[in-house]
Amino acid sequence: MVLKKEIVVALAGNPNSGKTTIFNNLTGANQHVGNYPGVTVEKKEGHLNYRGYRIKAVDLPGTYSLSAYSIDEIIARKFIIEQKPDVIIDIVDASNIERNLYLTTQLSELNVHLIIALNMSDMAKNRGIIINTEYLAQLMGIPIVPTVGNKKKGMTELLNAIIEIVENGVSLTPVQVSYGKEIERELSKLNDIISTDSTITNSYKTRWLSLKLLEDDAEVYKLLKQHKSSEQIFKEADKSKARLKSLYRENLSEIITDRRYGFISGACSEAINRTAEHRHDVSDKIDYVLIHPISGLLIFAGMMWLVFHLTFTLAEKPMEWIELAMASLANLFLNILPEGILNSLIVDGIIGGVGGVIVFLPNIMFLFLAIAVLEDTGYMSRAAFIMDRIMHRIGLHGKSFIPMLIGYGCSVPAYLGSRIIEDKTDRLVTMHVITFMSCGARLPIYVLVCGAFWPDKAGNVMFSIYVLGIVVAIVMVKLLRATRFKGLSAPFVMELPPYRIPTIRSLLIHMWERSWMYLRKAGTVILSFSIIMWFLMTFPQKKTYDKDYDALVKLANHSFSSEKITLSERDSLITAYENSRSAENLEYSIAGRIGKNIEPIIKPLGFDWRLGIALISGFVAKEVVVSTMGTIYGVGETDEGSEALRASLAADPKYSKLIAYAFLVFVLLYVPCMAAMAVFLRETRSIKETLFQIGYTTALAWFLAMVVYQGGKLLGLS
Amino acid sequence: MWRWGRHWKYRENYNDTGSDDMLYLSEAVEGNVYVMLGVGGGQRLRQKLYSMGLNPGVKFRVITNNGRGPVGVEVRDTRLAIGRGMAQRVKIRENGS
Repeated sequence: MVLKKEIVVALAGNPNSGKTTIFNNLTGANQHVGNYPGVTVEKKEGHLNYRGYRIKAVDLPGTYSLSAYSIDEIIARKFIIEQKPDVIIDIVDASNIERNLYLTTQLSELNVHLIIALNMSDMAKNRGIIINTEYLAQLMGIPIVPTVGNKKKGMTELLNAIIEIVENGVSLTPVQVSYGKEIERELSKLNDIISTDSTITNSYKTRWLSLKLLEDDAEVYKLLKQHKSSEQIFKEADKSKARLKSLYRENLSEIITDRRYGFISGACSEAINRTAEHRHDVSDKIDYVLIHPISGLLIFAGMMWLVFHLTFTLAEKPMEWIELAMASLANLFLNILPEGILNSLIVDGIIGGVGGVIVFLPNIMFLFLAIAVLEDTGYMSRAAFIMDRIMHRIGLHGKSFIPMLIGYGCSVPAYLGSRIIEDKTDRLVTMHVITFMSCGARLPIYVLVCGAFWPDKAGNVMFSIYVLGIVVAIVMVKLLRATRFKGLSAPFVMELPPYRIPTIRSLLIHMWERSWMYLRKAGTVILSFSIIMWFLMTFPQKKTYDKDYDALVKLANHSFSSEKITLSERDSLITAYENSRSAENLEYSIAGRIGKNIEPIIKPLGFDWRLGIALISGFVAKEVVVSTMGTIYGVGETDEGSEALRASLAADPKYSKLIAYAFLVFVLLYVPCMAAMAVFLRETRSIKETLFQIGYTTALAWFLAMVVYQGGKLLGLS
Repeated sequence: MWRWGRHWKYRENYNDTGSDDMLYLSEAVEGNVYVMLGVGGGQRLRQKLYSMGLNPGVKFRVITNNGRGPVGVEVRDTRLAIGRGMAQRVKIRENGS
């Protein structure tokens, strides 16, 4: 077999230029999503074989320029400079050509082989923009291939153009924007100095470096610092900048931008013929309704209702199937394996853990399908526009609203959904408060406790908890913005792309990628957490019980066979014994001991050790709190509707309404479950932020529950 | 009070240009066409707006501005939403004046 030559092709372009569609067309299903090292920027790579070559395609982050002001731009630039792809395809949206070519002028300045994919040329034609591609290619010095991404047109031509460059080299050289006599003079001065250091000129293009020095590019300064001639270069650059500053009143980078756009306007006016100056098209009319302060808000509310129901109501059935499948798998092992530790490890630890991972999959798939629809149609940015008015006052981004809403269902998809917020700080602040949007798994606890203590007004009490969650979230955003994330917010400038009909294929790819990423990345963490929790709740095992349950069961059986008690009496006796045995087991386990040992800490909240154990088990999953309470109060594994558990809670003299409310407050605020934290860790890629999230939520829960209990006592409530 | 301090800085920029018909994007009227002049304040915002096609000299139309929330503009065949805080720093003038 002949080894195929590998060609690396990078796809660059503006956001919304159809870059991802072309990437999907080229690579099909042969792609995988990862992250660029150390940052939460998605890195998409794919492979294809063409004419005896193995082409590796890399989808660079969508950017408007190649400055050093955003992480996406730095990453795209770094990839081009450091990885030196064989060819760069610059995807240019033909219907918005001038703005798109701004990036092209900057790509031209790097030492790369460029091809322009002039995308959506059909839409441009509809808008009355006629482009003479051959002439434009001559003017730009870059080969141009017209494409229509969503109709898969021009893909073969694009691939042929890549091979042509690889086999025969370039026939055109990218035209360099001329920045005017004065700037060019300084540039050539800097070029001369940089050229003397071959360690620099071997890896970078001299003119580009000089230009970036004039633009005060922090990254380029950092990069040059490692070279021995840097001091001399910086000194000369300072002189050049000082000379230029005395010549121009404006900012230097302003002039550079101006020249680039000047060059583009020149090229476009020659190669492009506009039959209509401007037409109020369909997008205009839709926008009038969708970003209108009243109708826009109503439509937004409707859309969110749809997203929420798609994520949670539609996912209900598949989740049930998964649970059923896991239960029958567990049953299978229960039957074939002898009772004991191995059985418990496989059934409770591993199957339980795997189940805990994939049970979220339907939620995640439907959520990302919904998000893909919102993004691909162009509605997402309108939603952010509408919500920015309100969210901005709180200190969040317009797009923060969507993951926060999803948080009412489950924090796991909500954290994953936070990816739609581009700015890292905005995203982190949002993620830090998502947990206060009380998740669906906390609801059973509220139902149980409210049902036990406020049978008549359970709904009102529960509602107050939800409201408290919103209030806490707002206060926390303000606090975080004033302390840890001070003044780091990115400028809110966002494109409102034209409305488009998404292709099913791109929606499915989008959904699949994210879900797969969840399974692969978060799944392993959740699984290992769940085995650890199983261990904590199982070991050490109690050898001798307070009561001899085996003897008691025997006695009950004996009484039944000698007809002293009825069958149902015997069964309830045995269940009671089993229940109190598991209560003893749990109490004896590490988790149980922790629960007992933290009693002094939770005493100021009015909680006893039993509530402590229940709360600790809530780290597994919030709904587990209820079944743990069932075990510990000796009524067996149960659900929130259990009358027996409600009765034993309400009748317990140690508890009061005040304690119950403090407990509700604590449950609302304290650490999210381990699955959520695993996803939080994967998404933030920061142990520090994850520990902060765990710590501050729990501290806040303790504090507010303490205020409720102690304050209530002072006020004479009970 | 710091807010006022910041505000004053922009007012100084305003005086710098010495132009009477200059106004801020936040004050623009829906439906009207304006010419971009420049951005007061951060380099980051300036670069972002320029790279998105809103650079000095370009003509654009304001599609929404109702005194609250972001301002929507149409420039170079595309539409942009600019947060109110940002819009208060974007200097423009009426087209044709």
